[in-house]
Amino acid sequence: MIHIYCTECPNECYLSITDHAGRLDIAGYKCQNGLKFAQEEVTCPKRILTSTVLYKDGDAVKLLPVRTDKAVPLSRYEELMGIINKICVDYKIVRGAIIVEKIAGLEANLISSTTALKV
Amino acid sequence: MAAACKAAEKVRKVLIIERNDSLGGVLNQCIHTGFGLHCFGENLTGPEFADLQQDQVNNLDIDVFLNTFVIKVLPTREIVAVNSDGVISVSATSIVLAMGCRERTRESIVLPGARVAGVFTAGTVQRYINIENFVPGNKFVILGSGDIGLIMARRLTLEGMEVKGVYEIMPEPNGLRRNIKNCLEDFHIPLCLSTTITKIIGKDRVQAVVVSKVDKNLNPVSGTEKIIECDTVLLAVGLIPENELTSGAGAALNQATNGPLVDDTYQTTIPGIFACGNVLHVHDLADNVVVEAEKAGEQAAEYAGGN
Repeated sequence: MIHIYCTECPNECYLSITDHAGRLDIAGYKCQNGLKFAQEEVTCPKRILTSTVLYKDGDAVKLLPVRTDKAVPLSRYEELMGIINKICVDYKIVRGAIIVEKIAGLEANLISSTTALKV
Repeated sequence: MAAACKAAEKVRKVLIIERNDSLGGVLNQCIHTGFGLHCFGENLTGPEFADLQQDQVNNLDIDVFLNTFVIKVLPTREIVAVNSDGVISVSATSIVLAMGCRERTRESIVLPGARVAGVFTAGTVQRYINIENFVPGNKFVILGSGDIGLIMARRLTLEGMEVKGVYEIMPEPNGLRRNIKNCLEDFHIPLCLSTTITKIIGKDRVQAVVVSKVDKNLNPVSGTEKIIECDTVLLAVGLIPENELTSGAGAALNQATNGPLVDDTYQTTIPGIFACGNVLHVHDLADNVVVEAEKAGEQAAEYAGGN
């Protein structure tokens, strides 16, 4: 049996996961998010990735905060950061606007975390 | 912003005075998620949380002075501030103090050793990395396991910098469990409990630190010293409510929280002056700040004669 804390919300439920020959027995969660979290944690742990991309505002180059709109596999972080670090946005953008659709072939889009209307 | 929005439902004139060039404070550099589950029902980043609050401010009739620094709050509820127009004076029926907090520095924890470049607070490094686009160092040692320190350990690793470890003097971590897991365990960053930095070594720039185990009374145990090579020390050793204006106005402070003493309407010892957020006491979650600020805003509006 393994124990982990759920990181989906501030409740931080203490989860117990037992593997009965491939069938997972999960206890300790208060909501469906916790159950899903526990299942993924032993198969393919996923998190929302947050970072920044370059943002051209006139002559100045600033940073624009971005995130994935769904949790992405932790194992793909390095590859995703490689893509994110090459992006430069030079147009007006609103909060939630998609910057990269289905990033690295995943289900998740890379979206803007803020509104940047200057440029 | 939350206090202003709530007050604007009840009174006609509400003004926000902000020293920065945008509203939202530290939220704008907190690009990680974990905000908004309570207030907006979804897991948001700091900038999104600030942006949503800003939308609410924009939709209401609230005046905003940006790039305006308040010098003094008088017990008569007059505010003296300075901005590009010069010195301005604002007279208010009621005031909500929401100045937030600042980080404890090397000086506040009396960290011994060479006085060299390369010792930063976690929030400063967060600003460099997430807003200014500077690289503050290559090899980091983090002192203290406060949430901003943990979050920066992950952020530095993602951006290609090396984090040698997080050292916490107490026997248990200070930050939220989700941050221990998502920021340290996910990236295999060591967390050393009951351990602290006992010396900073370097000439001009940090070259290494000495870390030592501590005993039950938090005194370093001799013989447990270890030298860790690094070029940057990041401090995540707590926050202090920023109450110079509060004391300046003559309001009494609470020794336990370092914030002003307030009654159950969030009113300080000066009638008509209220306080909320991290200036009142340091909060773990921004959503809790909003809940508190709404109550303080409502009370301030009632004091000002709103219904």
